[in-house]
Amino acid sequence: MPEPLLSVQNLSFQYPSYPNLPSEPLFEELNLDIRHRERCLILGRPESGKTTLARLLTGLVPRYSGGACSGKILLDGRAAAERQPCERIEEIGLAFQNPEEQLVRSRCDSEVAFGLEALNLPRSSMLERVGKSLSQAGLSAYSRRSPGTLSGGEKKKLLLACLMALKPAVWVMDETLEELDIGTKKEVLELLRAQEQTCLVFSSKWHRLFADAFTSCCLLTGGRMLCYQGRTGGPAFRSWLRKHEFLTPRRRTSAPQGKRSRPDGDPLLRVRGLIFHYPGADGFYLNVDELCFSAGETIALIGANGSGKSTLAKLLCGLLTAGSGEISIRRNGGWKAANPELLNRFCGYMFQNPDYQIFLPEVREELAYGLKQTMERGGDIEGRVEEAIRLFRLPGPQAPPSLMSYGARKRLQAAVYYLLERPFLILDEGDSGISAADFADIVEKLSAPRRTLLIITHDLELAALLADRIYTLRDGGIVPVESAAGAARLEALVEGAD
Amino acid sequence: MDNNEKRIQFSPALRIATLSVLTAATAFFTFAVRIPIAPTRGYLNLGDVIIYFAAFTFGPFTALFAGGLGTALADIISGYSQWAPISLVVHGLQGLAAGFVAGSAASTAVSRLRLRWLGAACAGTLVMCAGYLGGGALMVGFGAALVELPGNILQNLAGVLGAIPLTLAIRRAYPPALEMHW
Amino acid sequence: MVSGFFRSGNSALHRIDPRAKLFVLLAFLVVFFLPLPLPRLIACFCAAALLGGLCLGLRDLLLPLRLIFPLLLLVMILTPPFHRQGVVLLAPWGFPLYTSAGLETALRLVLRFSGISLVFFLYMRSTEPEQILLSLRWFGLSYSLALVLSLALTYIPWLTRLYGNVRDAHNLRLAGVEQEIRSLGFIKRTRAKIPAMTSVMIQAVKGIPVLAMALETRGIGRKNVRSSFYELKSGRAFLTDLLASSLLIAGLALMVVLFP
Repeated sequence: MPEPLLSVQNLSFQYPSYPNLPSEPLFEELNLDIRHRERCLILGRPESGKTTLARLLTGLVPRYSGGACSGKILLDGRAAAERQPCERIEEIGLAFQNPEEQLVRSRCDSEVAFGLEALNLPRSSMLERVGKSLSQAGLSAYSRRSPGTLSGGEKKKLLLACLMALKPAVWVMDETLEELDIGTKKEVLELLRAQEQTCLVFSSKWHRLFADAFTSCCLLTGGRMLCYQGRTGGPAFRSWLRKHEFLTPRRRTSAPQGKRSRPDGDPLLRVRGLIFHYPGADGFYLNVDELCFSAGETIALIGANGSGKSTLAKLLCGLLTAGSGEISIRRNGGWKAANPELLNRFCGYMFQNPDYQIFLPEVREELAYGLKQTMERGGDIEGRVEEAIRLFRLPGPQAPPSLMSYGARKRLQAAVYYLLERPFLILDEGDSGISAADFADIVEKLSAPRRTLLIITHDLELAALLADRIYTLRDGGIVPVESAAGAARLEALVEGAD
Repeated sequence: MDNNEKRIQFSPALRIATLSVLTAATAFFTFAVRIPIAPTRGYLNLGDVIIYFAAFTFGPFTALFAGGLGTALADIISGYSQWAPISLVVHGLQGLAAGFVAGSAASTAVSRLRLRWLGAACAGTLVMCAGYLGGGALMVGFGAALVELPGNILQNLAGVLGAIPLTLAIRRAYPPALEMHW
Repeated sequence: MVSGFFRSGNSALHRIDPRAKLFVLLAFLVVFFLPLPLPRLIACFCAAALLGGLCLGLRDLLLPLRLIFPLLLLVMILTPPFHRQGVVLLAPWGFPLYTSAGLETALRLVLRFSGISLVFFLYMRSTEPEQILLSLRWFGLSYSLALVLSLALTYIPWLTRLYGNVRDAHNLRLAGVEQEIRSLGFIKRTRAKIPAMTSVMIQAVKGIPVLAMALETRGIGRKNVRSSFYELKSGRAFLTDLLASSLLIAGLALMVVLFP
C-alpha cells in the first residue's frame, strides 16, 4: 500500500474562546488519507468546518486565526507544521471559497503570475504558464482586465487558473464548483480527471455531475470525516447522506398554521408601471407593470444573477428611486403613493451580508439599538430583547456579534428586524451560507399575520417550500411562475446562470 | 502540531496585510467621507480618525505607514498629487508621534487609556499642524498656509473625537485586533 | 472620484519610461523653487504647459488649474501683507498693505504652486500606477511597501462599495428615528458617522488575517528572491528615453540661464 500523499491523523481543532462566547471543538480526532492521483469530494453542511479544514491543511490556520490544535498533518511524509505555508505553495494549493478574498492584483495575468513570482521563475516561463493557464480556464480574453470586473463564476475560474499555473501537488478547492454553471462544472471536473490531479473538492451541495467524477467521497459531519465505500450517486448513497443529515428531506418544517396556506388577503403594497434605467448599461432596464403584495404572504423572487432582483428590492424599500411609475402603500382603506422616506420606514431590507449593520459590542446592544426611539414610553425593551435572543437561538445577551459564527450573525440580523416590526421585509439571498433548514426556520419566525416577506433566492426548491407565490424576473419584467413546466424552465435558467 | 492556545503569528504577510488595509482605509476616509463644517468654510475629512485609530490599536509604525501612504494616495486620487510628498511626511509623522505616546492598548484600564490617547492626539495635532504650516509655506507662502491652520486643528479634533469611540468599539467587538500591535 | 489619476492614452508622455519622466519632474521641481526673475519663471511654466498641452490636450490641462484656483486666489490676497517693501500700491486707512514687492512674491508663489501642480498632474495622468511602483522600486523602494501600495489601490473600491452598503443598511434600520443632522455642529455630525465607520472598520480589520492568508498562498514571506512579471524598459529603449529626457532637462536649464 503506497504511502498516502496527504495524511491527517487525529486532528482536533478549536477556535479561541472569548469572554461571553466560548468556543466548541470543531474537529475531534479527524482522520483522512489522500493518495496520489486521488480525487476526493468532501461534502459538508454549511458551518461544518470545510473552510477551516481547508485552511488547516494548508497551514493557514491556526497561524492566522489562533486556536488550539492537536494531531498531525503530513504532506509527503513531512509534518506540515515544520514549515511556513508560503514555503509549501508547490506542494499544496488552495482556492478560497470567496474569490474576492484571494484576488489581489489589478490584472488577471498578473494575478496568475503572482504566485509564480514567488518561485523566482524567469519571466519567459511565467509568460508561458500564465498564457496556458488562462486559456485552459477560458479567460484569455480577460488577461489584461481587472479581476474586479469578472463575474462570480469567472472569478472562481481565475482562481483555478492560478492553481494551474502554480502546479502544486495537491489542490484544495473550497466550494469552487458552487456557482459555476453546468458547462463549466463539467469542464473543471474533466480537467481534474484528465490531469489525474490529486485534489480535495469541498462542497455543501451534492450535484449529479459528481457521481462519477471523483475517486472517493467523504462527509464532514460532527467534527469527523466519514468516507463512503462504494459508488456514489445511487439510492444507497443518497440514503447514506440522508442518514447523516446532509440531505434533509424537503418538507415544510412545521404544519402550516393557517397563515401560510391562507394569507390575510388584505393588500399591502402595490407597484405600478415602475421603470428603472441602469446607468450606462446598454439600455437594459427594469419594467414592472403591476405587482401587488398582500399582508401575511410570503413571495419568492427567483432569477439569474444580474436579472435585477436586488435592484427591484432596493426600489421597493426606497434605497433607489425609479425613473417613473409608483409604489403605493395601503393606508386607511386607500392607496398612498410612497416616497423613498416612507418606504424606508415601511420596509426592512436584510442584505445578503449580515455584517453591514453590526457595530455594537454586545448582542443585546445591537437588538436594543433603534428600539429606544421607536418603542412607546414604558415599553419593555429588555423583555423584548430577551425574547428575541431566545427565539433566534443567539449565543447570549453579552456575546460579541462580530465574533459569532456566520449563521449566528444571520440570525442576529433576522432578530433585529423581528424587533423592528416592519410590515414588509425583504430577504436578499438569505439562504446563502446557511443550511436550508436554518433559513426556513428564520423565515418561519419572521412570518406574521400582518407581515409580508419577499424572499430572493437561487434555490427553487426552497422557494416552492416556503413561498405562497413565486415570481421571476425576465428581460426586466416580472413574471409569475405557475406551472411545473415553468418551474423546469426556471431551473434550467437558474442553473445556466454565470 | 501539539500545542494549545496559539496567538496569531505576526508574519511578513500579516504585516503587509495590516498596512494595506489601513492605508486603504485612511485613503478612503480622507477623500470620500467629508463633513461640512460651515457653509463657507469647506469640509473636514475623516482620514485623521483612521490615523489615530491605527495609532491607538496597531501601534506607531503601522500608523506611520498607513497615515503617510494613505493620505498621499488620497491626494493623488483626488487630483492634488502635488501635496502627496508633504502629506506623506506630515501625516506619517503624525501617526508615528501619536502611536508612541499612546503606547500599547492591550492590557490597560480604559480610563488610563483615554488620558494617554488624548495626549497622543495632542502630539499628533502638533506635528500635523506644524508640518502643514512649514510645508504649506514652501508651496503657497506663509499667508495662505496660516489660513489653513484653524481648519487643521479642527480636523485633528474631529479625528480624535471619532477615533476614541471607534477604537473602544473595535476593542470590544473584535479583540483579535489587539494582537496585531506593532 | 478619480480625477487626477491615470488615464490611458498613447501620447509621447504615456510612452516614455516612467523613470526618465521622474527625472524631468524633479528638474521642473528644482527650477520652480529657484529664485529666478519673474519672466524666466513664467517661461518655465509655459514650457510645462506646452509639454502637457501637446501630449494630453488643452482640456486636460485645465483640470489641475481649476482644482487649485481658490487656493491661488488666497495666495494672491494673503501673501502681500507679509512682504511690505517696495512701492506701495494699496494702503487702506494709511496702513501699507499691498506693495509691489508683495505682489511680486505672490505672483512667484502662484507660479511655483501652479507649476508644481501641473507637472505632478502630467506625471500621474500619463503613468500607470503599477509602472510608477516599479520605477520607485528601481530607485530603492522596498518590495513590501510597493506591494502595500498596490494592494491598497485594489482595496479602495471594495471599501467604497462596503461603505455604500453599510450606510444604506444603517439608514434603513434607523429610518423613522428623528435625526436632525443638518442643523448640528460638526461635533455631532462627526459622531453621527461613527456607527457606519465602525461597521466598515470591523469588516476591514476582520479582513486583515484573511488577506494575510491570501498572500501566503501566493508565497509572500518566502526567503528567496522574487522575480517580476512586470518589467520596465531596458537596453536601447530605456537609453533612448533617458536621452529624450536629458534633452528636455538641458532645454529647461538653458531657458533658466539664458532667457531674457
